[in-house]
This record gives sequence, C-alpha cells and structure tokens, in this order.
Amino acid sequence: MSTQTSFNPFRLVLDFFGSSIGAKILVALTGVIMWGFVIGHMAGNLQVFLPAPPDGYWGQQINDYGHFLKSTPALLWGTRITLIGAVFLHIGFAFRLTMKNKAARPSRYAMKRSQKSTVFGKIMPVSGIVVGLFILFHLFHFTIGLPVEVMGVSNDILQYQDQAGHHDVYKMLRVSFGQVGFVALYTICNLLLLMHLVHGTQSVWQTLGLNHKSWTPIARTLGWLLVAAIAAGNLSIPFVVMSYPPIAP
Amino acid sequence: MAERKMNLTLKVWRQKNKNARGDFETYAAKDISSDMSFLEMLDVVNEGLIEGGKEPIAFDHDCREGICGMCSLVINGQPHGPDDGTTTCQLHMRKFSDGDTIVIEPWRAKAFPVLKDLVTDRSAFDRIIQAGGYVSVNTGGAPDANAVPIPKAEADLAFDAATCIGCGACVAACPNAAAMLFVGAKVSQFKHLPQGQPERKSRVLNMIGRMDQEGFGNCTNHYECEASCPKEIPVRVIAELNREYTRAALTKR
Amino acid sequence: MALDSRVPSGPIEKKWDKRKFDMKLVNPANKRLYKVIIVGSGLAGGSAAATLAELGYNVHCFCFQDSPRRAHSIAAQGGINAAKNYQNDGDSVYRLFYDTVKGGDYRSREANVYRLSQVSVNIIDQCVAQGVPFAREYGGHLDNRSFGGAQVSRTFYARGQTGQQLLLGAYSALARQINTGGVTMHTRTEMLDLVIKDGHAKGIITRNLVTGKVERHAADCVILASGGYGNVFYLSTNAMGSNVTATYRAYKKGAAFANPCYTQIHPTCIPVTGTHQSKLTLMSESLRNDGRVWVPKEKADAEAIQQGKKKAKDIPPEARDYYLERKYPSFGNLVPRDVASRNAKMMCDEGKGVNGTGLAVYLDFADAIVRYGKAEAHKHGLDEDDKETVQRLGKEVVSAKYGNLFQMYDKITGEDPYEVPMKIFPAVHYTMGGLWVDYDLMSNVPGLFVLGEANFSDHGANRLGASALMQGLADGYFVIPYTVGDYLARIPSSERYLKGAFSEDDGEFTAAESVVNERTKKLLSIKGKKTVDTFHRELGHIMWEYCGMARNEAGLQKALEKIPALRAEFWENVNVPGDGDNLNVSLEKAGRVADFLEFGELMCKDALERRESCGGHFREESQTEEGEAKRDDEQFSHVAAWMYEGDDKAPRLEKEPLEFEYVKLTQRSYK
Ligand SMILES: Cc1cc2nc3c(=O)[nH]c(=O)nc-3n(C[C@H](O)[C@H](O)[C@H](O)COP(=O)(O)OP(=O)(O)OC[C@H]3O[C@@H](n4cnc5c(N)ncnc54)[C@H](O)[C@@H]3O)c2cc1C
Ligand code: HEM
Ligand code: FES
Repeated sequence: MSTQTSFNPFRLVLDFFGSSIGAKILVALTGVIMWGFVIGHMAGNLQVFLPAPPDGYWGQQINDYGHFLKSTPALLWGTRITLIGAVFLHIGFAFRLTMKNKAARPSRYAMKRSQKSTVFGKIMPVSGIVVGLFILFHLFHFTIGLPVEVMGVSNDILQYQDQAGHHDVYKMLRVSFGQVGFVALYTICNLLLLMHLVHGTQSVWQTLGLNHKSWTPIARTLGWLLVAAIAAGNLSIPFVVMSYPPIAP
Repeated sequence: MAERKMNLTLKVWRQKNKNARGDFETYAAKDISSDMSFLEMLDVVNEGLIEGGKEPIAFDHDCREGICGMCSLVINGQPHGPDDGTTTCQLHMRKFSDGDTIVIEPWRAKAFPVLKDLVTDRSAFDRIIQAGGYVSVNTGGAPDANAVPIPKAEADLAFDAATCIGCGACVAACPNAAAMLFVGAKVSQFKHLPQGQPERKSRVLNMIGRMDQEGFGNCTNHYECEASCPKEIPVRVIAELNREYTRAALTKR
Repeated sequence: MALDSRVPSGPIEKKWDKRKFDMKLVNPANKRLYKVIIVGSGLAGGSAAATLAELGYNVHCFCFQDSPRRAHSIAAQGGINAAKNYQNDGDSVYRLFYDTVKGGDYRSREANVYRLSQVSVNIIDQCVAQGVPFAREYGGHLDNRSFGGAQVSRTFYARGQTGQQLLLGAYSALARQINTGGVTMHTRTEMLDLVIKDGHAKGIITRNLVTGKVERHAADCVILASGGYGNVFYLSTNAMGSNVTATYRAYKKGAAFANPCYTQIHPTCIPVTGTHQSKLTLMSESLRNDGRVWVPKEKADAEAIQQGKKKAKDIPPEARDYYLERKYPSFGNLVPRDVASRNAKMMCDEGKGVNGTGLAVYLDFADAIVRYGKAEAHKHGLDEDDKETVQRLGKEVVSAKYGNLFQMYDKITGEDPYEVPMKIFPAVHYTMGGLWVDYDLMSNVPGLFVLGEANFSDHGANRLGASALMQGLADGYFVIPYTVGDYLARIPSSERYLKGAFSEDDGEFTAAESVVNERTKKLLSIKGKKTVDTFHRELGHIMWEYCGMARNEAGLQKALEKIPALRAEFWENVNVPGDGDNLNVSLEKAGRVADFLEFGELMCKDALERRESCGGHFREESQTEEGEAKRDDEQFSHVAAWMYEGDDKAPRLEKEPLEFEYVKLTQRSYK
C-alpha cells in the first residue's frame, strides 16, 4: 500500500497560497510587482518636465513616450495584464486575510495600548481601498475616458492631438491639473499610497522571510527613501503643472 | 526603594463561564504596598471579596516567577502590563501610583476562549506543538551529547527562540490575534539545531496547518507581539517561519 | 508489614543490569492492552508518560495546570548534574554517587543513588537529541558549571532556565505521543483520591477544575509524579499550586510516607518584604559560583545598615565577614545548601542581618565583575587598570552568565544587583521526603509507583543542587519504563482493565467518588469567616517557626498542639464561596490546604521522632561544637516510613534500615 502521490506543481502552489503564510506571501509578491509598476509609471510621467527637444515643442517628450507605448502593444498589454492580475490577486488575498484577522478577535478590548504598530500599518486595508478606487478613477481619467464631466474635465482630454498627430498627453495634464480639485484629489490619494507603501515596504522583507540582522535595517532605510522619492516624484507632477499658466481646453 | 502605600480603582472583567456574557466590575484596592507584585495586589482584593461572601476574581497563575507562562491579564491595554520583558506575576506595584485606575481584561482571541473571569483556554497552543513541535526521537539510543558539536552562535539563536513560555501574550497583543511569534519561536529553535533537520519540512507544514485550523489570525507585521513578549522573543523568528514554510511548502513531496 | 526495598544482590555497579535482566517483559504487541495512569506532567511524569507511550502502553496523564508544559519543573534554574566528565576534572559515576550520598548526609539508599548516577549520562544524551539547547562553548561542545557539595564541574545548564528547557524537551516528547494517540492528556484536572482494588492501585478520582465534574479513572497501575510539598510552609519557592494532595491521599489509602520532615531550605532566595507576600523567589545556586556571601563583622555596622544609615559600600573590605570562606576554606561559598542556609541563619541570629527585618545576608558580585573584567581586558589587549573598561567588560560577562536572574532580582526588589550586592535569605525549596518506594520505585501498595520529588528515594536528608532534575528524568526516562513493565507483565491477562476485568462502576470507585463529593460539599457548606489563605498562612507560620531551619523537642511539641487546633478551626470556620460545578479557585485551594493541615502534623511527628540532626533536618539538641549537624547513626540510620492507621489514631512508624557498603559513614566535612 503506497500513499505516494505524484508530484503536482499546480496542487503544490494552490495549497501554498491557500495557507495563511502563502496568502501573505502572495500579497507581498503582488505588492512588489505593483511597486515596480509605480516606479516605472512615475519615471515615465516625470518626462512631462523634460524640455522641448531641439526643433520640438514643450511636452513633446511625454507625448512621444505615450505614442511609443501605444505603438508597442506587446509591452503595453503585457504590463496591463500582469498588473490587472496583480491587482486582483493583491486585493483578493488581502481581503481574505483581513477578514480572517478580524474573525480571529471576535470580542474587542475595552482598552488597548499599541506599543509598536504605526498608523500606517493599522490603516492598510483603508489605504489599500482608497488607492484601489483611485486607480479605477485614474484609469477612467487618463485611459478610458470619464463617463461624466468632473470639475470641468470630460473625456475630451483623450482626443487632444499634438503637432505630430499623437495624443497630446502634455495638454491633457495641464488641463486636468489646472483644476485645484484634481490636484487635491491626486494629492490625497498619493499620500494614502505613500502610507500604504511605507508599511508595505517595511513589511515585505519580513513577509518574504528576508530578515538579516544587518541587511534588513539597511533595506528598510532604502525602502523609506524610495517611498519618499516616489511620493515626491508623483506629487511633483500635479503641483508643478498646476503652477503653469492656465491653458484653454 | 522605599515602600509606598496607594489606593487604586480596578475595573475587572468578570464572566461566570465560557458561555456567559461578561462585563466589567469596579473594585477599590486600598492600602496597596508598592512592594507587592500585581498578583499579590489581586490576592488582597480577592481576600476582601471572599470576606464579603463574593467569589474571588479567577485568574491563572502558578510559578509567580515569570517562567511557567500561566499568568496572563491585559493590564491597561497591555498584555502583562506596562513593564518591558515581564510577566504579570513579575510586575510590581511600584510601577503604579496612588489614585490610578487599572483596567484588567483577559486575553481576547477566538482561539483562546474565556473560561471564567480572566482565565482563558490556551490549549490551542498545545495542539500546535502536538502537530509537530518536537524532534521525533524515542527514549534510549541517543548518541553521546558531545558527538555533534553545535557552533555557539547557532546554539544561542536556538536558545533565544527556545525561551518562549507559551503564555499567549503575543496573540493577546496582536491586532489580528496571530500566533506566529509562538509558532515561529519553536520552528526557529529547531531550525538552528542539527537535531531539528530531519523533520524540518514536515514540522513547519504541520504546525502552520494546525495554526490555521485553530482560528488564529495572520501576521501583518505590527510587531506588537515582540513588544509584549515577556521573554522578548524577536520577530526575526516570524521571518524565519515564513521562509521555512515557503521552502517546505514548495518543495514538499 | 515490613518494607522490602527489593534491592538486587551483587556488586553495586551490576545491580541495575541484573534487575533489568531479571524483569518480566511485556510483548511489544500487547503493550497497548495495558492502561497506565500518570499523575503529573513535570520532568518525572512527563518523561514517564512519553516513554511509556513510545513503548506502546495506553497512557493517561493528568495535571492541574492548563498545559503539561507548566508543571513546576519549569521553574528550575541552575542546572542538571551528570557524570559525563567532559571537563576532564576527575568526575565519574562513582564520584557522583559518592557526592550524592555524602551530600544527603548518609540517609539515602545506596543502590538507588548508584543507579541514578549511572543513568545520569544517558539523560544528557537524550535531552540533546530532543533539541534541548544546553549552554555551549565556542568550540561547539557542552559547557558545565559547578554546584554546591561538589568539587568537579558536572552541572549542565541552559542559562538560568535549565528546568524550562528540560521540561520543554519532555513536553515535546509528550506532545508527540498525544498526537499519535499514545497519551490521553487531562489538563486542569486534579487527582483527589486513589482507588485500591484487591490490594492493588487501580485508579484515581479526579475533579475537572473547569466544569467541576468529578470523574473516576481506572487503569492497570497508577504512577504518581506530583512533585513536592514545600507549600505546607505557605511561603516557599514552589509554585502556588504545588501540593501534597496526591501523595497524601495515597498515604491515607495505605502507602507509606517516608521521611516527611526532610525539607530543604535553600540559602539564596529573595528575602520576605511584607505580610502580603505570596511566594518566595529563588536565586539560583549557580550564583554562588561567582557571588561571595558576607555580613559585616561588627554588629554595630549591621545595625546601621538595618536602620538605613549605612549601605553595603560603606563597609570596607576588612570589616566584612565572608563567613563561608572563613569557616569552610576548601568548599567556600559552594558548601551544600543545608550548611549555607544554617550559617545565614546563625549570622542573622547574631544580629548581623543586612536589611530592615534583619533577615538577610549579602551575595556580592563586585569581585567577580572585576575579575572577569580584567580577564576580558587582557584578552582584548585593553587596559586592565582602567576601572571603567573593567567594570563594563566584567558586567557583560556576568550578564551573559546570570542575566535573567539579575533581571528577575531587579524586577522584584527594584535594586540593581550589578551595582549593589544582592540580599538573600534561606527559604523552603524542596522536600526530600515523599512516598516510600522500593528499588523499582513502587510503593508498598502494589501497582502504585512514585517518581520525582514525590518519592523519597535518592537524596537522603539533603539534596545536592542540580540533582532533582537529574532524578526526575532518570525516574521517568530510564527507570520506570522497565519496572512498570515488570509489574504489568505479572498481571494475568484475565485481570486487565482493558479486558473488562474491572471498571469505573465497581464499588471501590463509586465509594471513593462519594467520599470526594462529600468533602467538596462539606467545604462549600461551612461558609465561615476566614479565607483559605488565612489558614494556610497560619499553618505556614507554625511550620516555619517550629519545623523550619532549626527544630527542637519543645517547639515540635507545641506545633503538634497547634496544628490540630488550627485544623479543627478550619473545618468550622473556613469560607469557600461559589459552588462545586464551576471553576472555583477557593475550592481548589481549600482542598489542598485541608490536606496540608493534616500533613503538617505528620511532618512534625517525624521531626520529633528523629532525635538527631542530618542534612536539612537540624535538631538543636544534636549539633557538634561548631554548630554542624550531628548524626546519630546508631539509632537513626533508617528511613522513617509512616503508615496511616485512621483519622483518630496515631500513624504507625515503619523503619527501613539503611546499610552502607560502599560509602563510609563519617561526619560530613566541607572544611
Ligand atoms: C525555583 C526552583 C528552582 C529549582 N532549581 C533546580 C535546579 O536548578 N536543579 C535541580 O536539579 N532541581 C531544581 N529544583 C527542584 C526541581 O525543579 C524539582 O524538584 C523537580 O522539577 C520536580 O519535578 P517533578 O516532576 O517531580 O514534579 P513537578 O515538576 O512539580 O510536577 C508535578 C506535576 O504533578 C501535577 N500534580 C500535582 N498534584 C496534582 C494533583 N493533585 N492532581 C493532578 N496533578 C497534580 C502537576 O500538575 C505537575 O504536572 C528547583 C525547584 C524550584 C522550586
Ligand atoms: C488596489 C488596492 C489595494 C488594496 C485594497 C491593498 C490592500 C492591501 C492590504 C490589506 C495589505 C496587507 C496589509 C498588511 O500586511 O498589513 C497590503 C499589503 C501591501 N500592499 Fe497593498 N493594496 C492595494 C494597492 C497596492 C498598491 C498599488 C501597491 C504598490 C504599489 C501595494 C503594495 C503593497 C505592499 C508592498 C504590501 C505589503 C505586503 C506585505 O505584507 O509584506 N498595494 N495591501
Ligand atoms: S505565574 Fe508563572 S509566569 Fe507568571
């Protein structure tokens, strides 16, 4: 009588992610993927500040970049599918973990004093949800097109064309961030993303089991710096663009 | 240190049994000496209750020197009270001042049901150990103790993890009532010892399986457990646990 | 009925092998057909339960704590002895045997002690195999320290938490067997009576401490490993729940209680601070490796300290009396416990105590810090004369060795022992007495085995440090698995429990259960004026005053009047609130204190009867000119085993003569 089962990698992975630790690790890994995207996304967007090329015009760099993406469908869709997958898995598993965690403490303390946990850590589900909603809005705003007009901005912004006949990303940004409301919305959401990432970045090493007496603190500090850089980079766009003179839609 | 006397107000969780609804009762603790331990202070209150024909406050305790892991209590929102690296039985009243109000609650977690007042059922911890927290060696036939040298540094790491007293403060402190510091401590101890190697994978798989079944939450890296651990077990053991589990789960046969 | 120790014949080093060979064996396939009850999950009970289940027996194990891991063995700090001779300092099985018999002041059974020394080496191997993290040296090999009463380093340790690590080893072995179904564990369950059927121990009556349910459990034999009874003194280093109930109930069912008066008073405990005190905390004996014990030479200095006018540092070296080093130059601070305790008491009796109550002596680490600091400085090529460097390095070494003990001291007293000397005083710590057992660890009641601190067997009148852990594990891992098998193999198959030969419904069980129920009902119905703790505290005072560190005829007589009076008052005036079918802390305590109130009397009787001093039993009438314990081998070279004869009758004294073939009886000297 043999109980030897054949090796089934599918089952193995499924079992793993079905466990508490596996779920945590999946959240961490998908978080890291989104991390990567956030950096790439920011780097791309910062091109809005690049000066006009010789013989070119302001905003040409970012418009060209947008055009490059659109004309490289393999890259565009590859990234999109990975990201959609990551977002769904991240949200799904984070939701599952959060519910289990709530269920593990059915009756609350009348008095509870935290010693080490930070607000960032405590609001992870909230910051996550806000960021998620924001991503959705962001997609409608700049990719799909807003179904209704918001603060004077409509899906017209996707129709802007530059001299080369490409989508005028630059103008789209200037029109949008000409509105204080948009700047405020993007600022708030990016701050929440910052908070989410502050805890996430500290956490991820521990979750993935990458703990070392000397290296971990260094990695954490680097993480901090990176998160700060992302926040600064992302927020610089609406703020700087807002300070440009108004532009007609 | 010179002795002080103080009067305190206690808000204590009272619950008749597992199924009853509990609530807070307020008691006055008078003429408490700063030299008393926290549990001795409760003894004094209990003597008063008994003399008044009431049932004393039930709480778990045994060794009263911080090693058996039997005592518990969330004191003013902190498991084992405000002092670092101490159990409730080692906490002394000199940490409090005259006129203080002290809120005393039981460990709260689905996996640790309250049995009475401040007494909880922590047998879930035992069941996790039963699932694999051991080296499967029968009595007799062990090789000479010095046959396998163990580098001091590794032995020390194993020891740091092995100091866990199984009190459950980590679960009580964790926002998610997770037991990962406890499980991590056991897994880490054996991971650092040659004796632990043969069962390295099955141990962590079985223990985590059991942990999930018992209804504990999951670590979201707040490190409240480390802060309230009376033995100051570091969260490093949780990282090790994650790594050990991943390795085992993805390479099991 | 004479007590037959059933020691095998032949030379001492062959006895155990011979016994093992003569044993009847149970066929491996049949072992699961025998049910064994074990009361206790400490080192003795836990190791026995695990090992018997590994062999295949059907084991039921009981403890009153919420987990077997919390048995009082967990609290042992200092270490465990074993004759490994890893230090190459001349240790051997024979030397450990010799030291133990001598340390016990020649009141133990040679054959048992020899076996203990023999198996001591296997214990360390077993524990290391389980993953017990003993202290190691840089080369990766096991480290040792020295303990009192020995001039070799044979004590294995795990920082100041040796008992914890050993118990967790046994607990893990037990957990493994619970997982396989070999052991059924009953936690929060207290044994309240022993059931005897046809002259054999066949079961116990228990109370579930959560639901209050009283239950009957039958089995083919019963093993008691319920620990010591030091709490008869109210204040002791034992855990709050440690009790005599299990062994005392067995005594009332016919088991002989041996040497109840042998109590160990540990010299290094934190002194009492006030009447609220609920327990005393031990500072491990290992501290005497490096700490120096002293009091001021002049009474005037001591008085100034007592009144808070002077501090330890105000007493210059030449005005200090390092009395142990002075009186016992060869053992110094490492004399056995009884000697160290008695000397501390003498100093305090002379008015040289060093705290407010005058009941404390100093244990000073200042010299050790300097010595280690200099050595470290030398090792690292630093300035050995720089005070600050030396202090810093020295404290680091001391902290690595005793950190958790120093921290514990600081928590309790609010004083930092790195800066000021510790104040210590003797406290009740261990009880050498216990149920009488033969070489097989079986009591005079067939089928009732007794292990660990609960029996009387190996330590005579004084236990050496680090030998209780050794004994508990020797009994559980290496002795009982053989001897129980021998007993069980002799039970005809038709008489086995699992064959249906008898059951929990038999008259003996129902009768025992109703006695337990009656008692519970009685305790709950008195509803008097005094709490259980009040009675316990009063009993403790009597015991400490008259049956403590020094005993005399008149005092013991007085105690024998006071205890029955207190007991009578208890049954009239105790107040146990609540009911019986619930978790009821007062009720649990009341049952234990009721037994202490009877047992205390037996102790005093035994102390009175033993008109000699030996080890921890110091009769003021019997001392040498220098105030050392003076034995009377002519009259008292025996085990005093007491037999219960009925509540209104005096117990009967049986004597097991002690013969010494190998160790020569001499006046113990540690000079
Ligand atoms: C503070 C301290 C430090 C010590 N340090 C050392 C040391 O360094 N070295 C050394 O060798 N020795 C030391 N000792 C002594 C040693 O720890 C004990 O003698 C030994 O551990 C006793 O083990 P045991 O298994 O016999 O009993 P215990 O560990 O006391 O176990 C008793 C068991 O019986 C159970 N029990 C008791 N009564 C009942 C009942 N009525 N019903 C059901 N269950 C019951 C308990 O639940 C428990 O499981 C120390 C002792 C103390 C107090
Ligand atoms: C889309 C909506 C999102 C939701 C609902 C969400 C939710 C969560 C939750 C609940 C956690 C676990 C909380 C914890 O461990 O304390 C988490 C962790 C994390 N998230 Fe998100 N998140 C979202 C988006 C993002 C984005 C956009 C990123 C990165 C750019 C990100 C990166 C991370 C990281 C790195 C972690 C840490 C994983 C770990 O525990 O190690 N998340 N998220
Ligand atoms: S009572 Fe044992 S740890 Fe507190």
